[in-house]
Amino acid sequence: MIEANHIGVRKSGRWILRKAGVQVRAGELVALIGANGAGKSTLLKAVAGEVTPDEGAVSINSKILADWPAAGLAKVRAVLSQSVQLPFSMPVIDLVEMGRYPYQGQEPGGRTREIARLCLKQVGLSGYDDRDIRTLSGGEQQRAQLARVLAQVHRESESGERFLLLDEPTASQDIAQKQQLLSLLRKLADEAGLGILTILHDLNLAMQYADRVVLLRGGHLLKSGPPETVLTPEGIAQGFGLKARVVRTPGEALPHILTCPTAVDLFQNEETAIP
Amino acid sequence: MIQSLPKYRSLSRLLSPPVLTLLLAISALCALLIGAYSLPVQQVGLVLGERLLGLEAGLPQTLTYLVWDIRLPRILLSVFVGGGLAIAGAAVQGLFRNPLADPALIGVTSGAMVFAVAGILFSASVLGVIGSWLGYATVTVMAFTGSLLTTFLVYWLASSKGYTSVVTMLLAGVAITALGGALTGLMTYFSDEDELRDITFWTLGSLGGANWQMLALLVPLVLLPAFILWRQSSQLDLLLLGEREAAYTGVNTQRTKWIVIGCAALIVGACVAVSGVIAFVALVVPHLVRLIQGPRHRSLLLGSALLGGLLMVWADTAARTLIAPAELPIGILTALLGAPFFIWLLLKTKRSL
Repeated sequence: MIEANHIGVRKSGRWILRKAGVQVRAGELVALIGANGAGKSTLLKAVAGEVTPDEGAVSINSKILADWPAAGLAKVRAVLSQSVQLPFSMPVIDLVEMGRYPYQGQEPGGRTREIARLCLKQVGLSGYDDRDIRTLSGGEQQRAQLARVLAQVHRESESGERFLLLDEPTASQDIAQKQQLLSLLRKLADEAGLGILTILHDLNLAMQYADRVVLLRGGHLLKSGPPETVLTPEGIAQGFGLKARVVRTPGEALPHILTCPTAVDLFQNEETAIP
Repeated sequence: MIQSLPKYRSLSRLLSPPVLTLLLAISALCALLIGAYSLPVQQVGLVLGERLLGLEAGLPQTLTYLVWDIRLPRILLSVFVGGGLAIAGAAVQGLFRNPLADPALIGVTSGAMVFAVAGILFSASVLGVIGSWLGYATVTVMAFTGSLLTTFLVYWLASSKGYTSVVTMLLAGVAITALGGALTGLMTYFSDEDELRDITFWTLGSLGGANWQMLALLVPLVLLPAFILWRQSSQLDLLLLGEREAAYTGVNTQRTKWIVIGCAALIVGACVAVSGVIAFVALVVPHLVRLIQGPRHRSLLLGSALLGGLLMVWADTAARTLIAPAELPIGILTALLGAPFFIWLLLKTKRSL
């Protein structure tokens, strides 16, 4: 389990994160949302260990981050930043294999390749092995990078909780790919038991796929809980300063969020049902 | 545009390490025969047999001297200088995440040169040991200090948060090279005629002074750091993703960075100490190997070392035969060939600068 409580991060004398926190259990998909500048990336970096909090501490599987050896930590959690660019051409399969660095010398090279192929298949890039990574579209590159981090936490026999930290993985995907990507994450959480913490901009995706949503504003934790309790018109108004309707469509389990032009006050800020 | 990589596969097999090693050995033997006086293969074979296997062939002393004391050390020196510069170049390019990071272009060679020239002056005028083992050692230590300081300086100037600004990197190289030129000029100005000849020899780059003492010093200073660099292959691969991603994947990035900077500086320093400034080898060779074998460092570093040695053997053979009996400084030759290549590379990467 990832536990980050009362996290505070200061940058040039100013608190950019204060009393923020998040918990991620194995098998859980947690969405981190908030307006730009709310501190999502900083919180994710603190959980990843890139930023050391000035207040509070992050622990993974009951062990404080600072106590984790680098290779051990890399085996239990993988991080995917928003845009990772390679300076040279490289076959996709080589990129994915690089994710197995923490297991170097512990598994035969053939097995590494099999795992890499499996992870490419999971992200829908089967047969892309020998393609040059730099000639793929932005969305495909992002999924190839996802395959790399999946390979990093791929386990064969040992159990133990593993986590994925993703910074806006849907950024360069089209609308269908966004759904595919989130259902893949959902599946990884459900079937492989991965704990996933992901920054999301699309509130509807958060609503449809997340177990819990953590809403940040101005570096503070505003609300946290199941999507339906956080993504309410009030929550969205507080978090984003935006009017929104949350509508239920007959035949669908989860409501949809419709954002409204702020200048036009046509709708009530409450959940309404379309007849 | 969809581009697959397999077209390189056949070429990659053709230029595999065993094939390159074989080519290198054949080239070295050919280079023994070629020169201001071309020698028949039997005679060279006899000299080698006499020296290596202890055969009594009763050869004329001038022949033995020419093959064993002049050409062979020079050829071996070109193998190690070429291979060393290329492997250092490949590693530095990986660290800077940029194909333009040639130690000569980013000022490292220049920094090594300033210190080497200071070392020459010091060992000539104060210690009086120039041309001896101690003289080479002094110059090598000085050149290593210079290359280490400049590598660190350029890296510090050009990178922030693990990402390198190419423009800053190249501009820092321009500034350091200008400063290096000025300091070398200053030392030249105040040196006497003998020292001047020594200094000019270094700055143009030449393998002409090769002897066994020099080799004994250079070989371990190239092989050991090259081996350490090669052991960092996977870490260098991951650094291509940026320092942050490498750290997320479990790489101790600070440690890797220092190992790469230290080893590359040691190799460049040792090479500059024995051969002066030989530019563009470290730029061209890794680029060619990367085109053929891809950017994974395990094959890139090995391939660069072998191809670097191979090219340098032929470049030096050309340098000593083109205008025989006179000799062309090899640094001038590699610059003549390498500069257009650099411009082509610059045009190719213009958009990403």
